[in-house]
Amino acid sequence: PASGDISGKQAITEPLKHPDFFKVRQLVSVKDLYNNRVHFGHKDGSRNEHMQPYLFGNRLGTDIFDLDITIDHLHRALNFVAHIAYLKGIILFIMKSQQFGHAVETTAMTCGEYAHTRDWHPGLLLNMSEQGGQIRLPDICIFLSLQDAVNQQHLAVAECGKLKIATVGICDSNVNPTMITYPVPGNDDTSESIDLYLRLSRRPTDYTLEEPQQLVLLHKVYTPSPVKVIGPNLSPTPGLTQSN
Amino acid sequence: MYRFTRGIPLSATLASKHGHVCTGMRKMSETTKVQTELGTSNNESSKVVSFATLLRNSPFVHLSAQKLPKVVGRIMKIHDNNLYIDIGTKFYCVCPVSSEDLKKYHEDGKVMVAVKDFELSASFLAQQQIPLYLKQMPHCWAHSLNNHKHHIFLYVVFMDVLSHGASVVFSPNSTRSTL
Repeated sequence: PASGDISGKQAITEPLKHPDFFKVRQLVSVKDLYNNRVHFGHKDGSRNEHMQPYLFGNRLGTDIFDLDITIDHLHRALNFVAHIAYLKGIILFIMKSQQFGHAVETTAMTCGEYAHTRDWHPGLLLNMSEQGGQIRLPDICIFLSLQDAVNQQHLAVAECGKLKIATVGICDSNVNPTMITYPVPGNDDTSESIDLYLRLSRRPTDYTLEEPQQLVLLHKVYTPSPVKVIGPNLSPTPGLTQSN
Repeated sequence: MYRFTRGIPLSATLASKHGHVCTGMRKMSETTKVQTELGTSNNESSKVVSFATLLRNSPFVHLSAQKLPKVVGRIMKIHDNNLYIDIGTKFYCVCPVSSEDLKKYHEDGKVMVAVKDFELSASFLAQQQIPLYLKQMPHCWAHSLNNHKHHIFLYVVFMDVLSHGASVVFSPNSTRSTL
């Protein structure tokens, strides 16, 4: 019933009223997570006590995540990322891993977002102007793994906490999820799982606020198609993280 | 397996009754090849299966709690006399082979793997690796063959597993097999 005139404020507040404006819940199901080995955690000896609520149990020494809990957290995180991308927020993908660094950088490039997969200099975000970086800080940081190369918590987690930058993080069973805004308990060590997360995070970042006409369509129909597509295609790239 | 929510351990009936080899083992490496397409998982149209059901029927849970569980793996990469094998769990396996045996294996081939440990807990390793013994396989197979009730089934699985070029001398009646 709305006319062609939509005020800027409405375009921002209307999507927020909807529980799943971007329909991110249709992107992934429990079966997808299970097929991509998201339920495997580390050994019970290296379990972080804070991860216990997210675990289904332990089998042959390996912690198993409860994917019914994970899927809820994942949907919330994807919805959040979609809203931020919709409002043209800056998204920073962070992962310090030799195996997956290249895949994360490539994904961020195709999304038009940013990635940091190298050694994190302490104070990179806190002292950004001193280190010669951009003036605008990231609006959210997506951690594909909360640990860095030496199995300690990534320095960026604390920096995001200090700067009130919202974080989305894949929490494996040996990490501390308490500083993450939208934790997603799941596997962060297998290439299938990381591939899945990267594919999923590509989609919400396509929902950006563009021209007013498209905003009208969004408001009327409530089922937006991606208004800005960056990169050649959205289909999953098999073997992205294997021996690259 | 124990569940935190209930606080009671599940019984050992989850483990396989067939000794070393389980039917679930063949599926373990096959599930890794499943590619998930975005947008095809529509919860309204398909039946929503709970995770507990998926896990209960998974090959990982069908593994019995033995010291060297036997699984079917797919060779991801051969490098420097090492086989890097994907067995459907969190981490992949690394198995050193001698130079003569190296010819028997090729990438994307299926192998039977005796897994020592699903995860090396040593924290100094950048990449977690699972050491395993492929050389121990002949003894394991010989042991399985003694179970006459299931030897026909084992024969079929064995031939399928090794159909990719590994040379095997095998006979259901013999107690030895060389790999």
